[in-house]
Amino acid sequence: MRKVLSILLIALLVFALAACGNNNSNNSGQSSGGTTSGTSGGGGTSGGSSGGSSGNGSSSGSGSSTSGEPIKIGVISAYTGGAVGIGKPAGDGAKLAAKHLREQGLNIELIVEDYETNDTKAVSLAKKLISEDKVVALAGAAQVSTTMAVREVALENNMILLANPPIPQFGDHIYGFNQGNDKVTQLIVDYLKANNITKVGWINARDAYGQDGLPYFEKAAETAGIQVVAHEEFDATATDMTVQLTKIRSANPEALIVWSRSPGAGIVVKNFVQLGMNIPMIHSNAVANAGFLEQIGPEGAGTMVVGDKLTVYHDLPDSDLRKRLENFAKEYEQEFGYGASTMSMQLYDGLMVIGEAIKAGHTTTEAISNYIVNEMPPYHGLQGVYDFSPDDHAPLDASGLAIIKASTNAKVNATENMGWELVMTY
Amino acid sequence: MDTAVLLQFIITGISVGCVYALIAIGFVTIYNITGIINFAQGEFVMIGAMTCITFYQMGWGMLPSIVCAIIVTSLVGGVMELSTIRPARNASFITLLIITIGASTLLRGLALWIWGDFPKALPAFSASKPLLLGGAVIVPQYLWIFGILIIMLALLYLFFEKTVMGAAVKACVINPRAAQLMGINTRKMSTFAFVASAAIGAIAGIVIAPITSGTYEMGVLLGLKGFVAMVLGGMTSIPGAVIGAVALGLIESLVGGYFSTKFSDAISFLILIITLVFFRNSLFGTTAGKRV
Repeated sequence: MRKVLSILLIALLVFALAACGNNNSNNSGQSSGGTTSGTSGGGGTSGGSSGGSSGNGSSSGSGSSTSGEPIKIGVISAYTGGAVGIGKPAGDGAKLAAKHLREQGLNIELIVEDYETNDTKAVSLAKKLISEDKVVALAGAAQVSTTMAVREVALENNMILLANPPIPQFGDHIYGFNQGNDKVTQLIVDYLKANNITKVGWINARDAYGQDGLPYFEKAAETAGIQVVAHEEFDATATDMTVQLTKIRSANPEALIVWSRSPGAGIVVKNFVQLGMNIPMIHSNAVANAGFLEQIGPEGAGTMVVGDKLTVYHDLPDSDLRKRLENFAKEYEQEFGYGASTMSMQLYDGLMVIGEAIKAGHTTTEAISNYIVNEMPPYHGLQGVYDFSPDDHAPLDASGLAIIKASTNAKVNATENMGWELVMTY
Repeated sequence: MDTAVLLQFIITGISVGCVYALIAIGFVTIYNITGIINFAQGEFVMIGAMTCITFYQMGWGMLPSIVCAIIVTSLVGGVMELSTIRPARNASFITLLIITIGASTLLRGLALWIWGDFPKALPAFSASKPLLLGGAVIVPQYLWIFGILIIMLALLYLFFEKTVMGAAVKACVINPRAAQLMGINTRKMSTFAFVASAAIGAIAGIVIAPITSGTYEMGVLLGLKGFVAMVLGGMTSIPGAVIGAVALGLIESLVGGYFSTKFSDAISFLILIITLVFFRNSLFGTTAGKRV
């Protein structure tokens, strides 16, 4: 009996461990970035690599037109640990923005801190940046749960927070730089309408990220008269989704929407192709990255994903925006050695907005924040247009989003033999 | 009931069950020889897959990549045994179990550090056009998995029944004191068990990788399912574990297919609990523990 009891206990312990592992991956709810982040906190998987990139963000700039004290901005991002897929591009985007602002003559000092995919560490870093470094604004923090925690600290201290993941709530001085799932799902609905599709199947990962999409989609779909005829879910770390896809196929939808991060999304594509299904398939913006292309390979060509204009700038007609995106992409790759992605633009736009406020003569947290919501004209960032107001702290419009598809003959390859092609955009 | 759909669920269930079976064999091997449940078995699967992908992406051919990946993983298994299990040789069952859980977390963390978090692809071993069987689809890679499972069962049978080393290993399991008196080194057996299970796990990982892609945390869920299969099969029986694994795959698939896919993993663990509580001494062995 004792042996059985101990085995039972162990099984439960193991089950709890599995649940914990999945729970932590729930919290990195960032829509873009294809990470399978998980195991934070107690799991201690922040490897052993370069610890804390304290002071990573270079010292105070050259050529200051605003003399005297540099204006300090703190960035909290994940350079190690499970959320590095989102955290590194986000932080690097901020660094590039600071560089550009300094080239424009602003005296900005960027302090970049690595929270190692550990929410507790992020909170203590936020407190340190506020009290010791005396920053004027914070930016970050890669994952939804982390950003919400840092948001609490920011609210307590009346500090600006430029948030890059799609958090559900904002508040005084809290600003969002992400389109949000409502705009992403609206784009999908618009694509379906343009293609006369009225019945869709929906499949998602059974984690916090995966379950977030459907409510938004259903709202947008209802107004457009589109119906979800089948809905299936799968464990985010499962290895085979044939059962779910078979069930969906029996309901005869005209298109399939997939809401999951990698690797689940990639396995759905593989199974989809193996089953010989050939209805349009559209994924969320979590997989608009090169890792997804590598995973699905040439057999997955034709898979559509919600991405952004940056990923397919080569397919855009000539315009100012196209030039800006192309320059950004090239300079980013030169500076950091890897391709820019959606996350790279988020804090870039964020820092640029702060830059606008500083150029208008404001250098304190209060003044900058007031300028953003009350005086700043709509700002044309890399991701789209931001029209901040007291009622809307996350006003990024959908103009930067695009439906893109994986292709073996794209103009620019993201992996050895695959790239992205533009399908539809605003 | 559409028969093509039913057939698809059955084929998928058996295929996935074969994957679990490969992993369960590793669990049973270590348990049989040392009496320890090794929760790092899933990580051996992961390391096998990731190292094979790494070697393959470096330009080595498929066969050298596979062989070297198995060797590397076996070394990892051996090192793990020598550094974490051997020193704690006489600790309690629970302590050793927790040591393996700790090792699994450590290996996962190292994997994340080495390979990052993007999934990595390995091409299928042969043409990837799926076969049609009565309206249901079989992916050729699953046929490879099935074939390798059969070969592995045959090799293990030959080893335990027809070789001197196999006889020595069985002796350790049946009566360690007597085995020692006969000059068999039981400590070396423990190391051998981990090396062998790591190799088996590596083979499982390599064969699964073309289907699932390799990620640093692929071992977690797979390891747990393999463990459930081992318990279902009676803890000490390899054929039992295989049957348990296939049964598990089938149940998951049919429940998911006809009831709801929202609970497919909870079902696995429910089965585990039911088995432990109600079927302690049945199926193919005993679920009570046994220490060497």
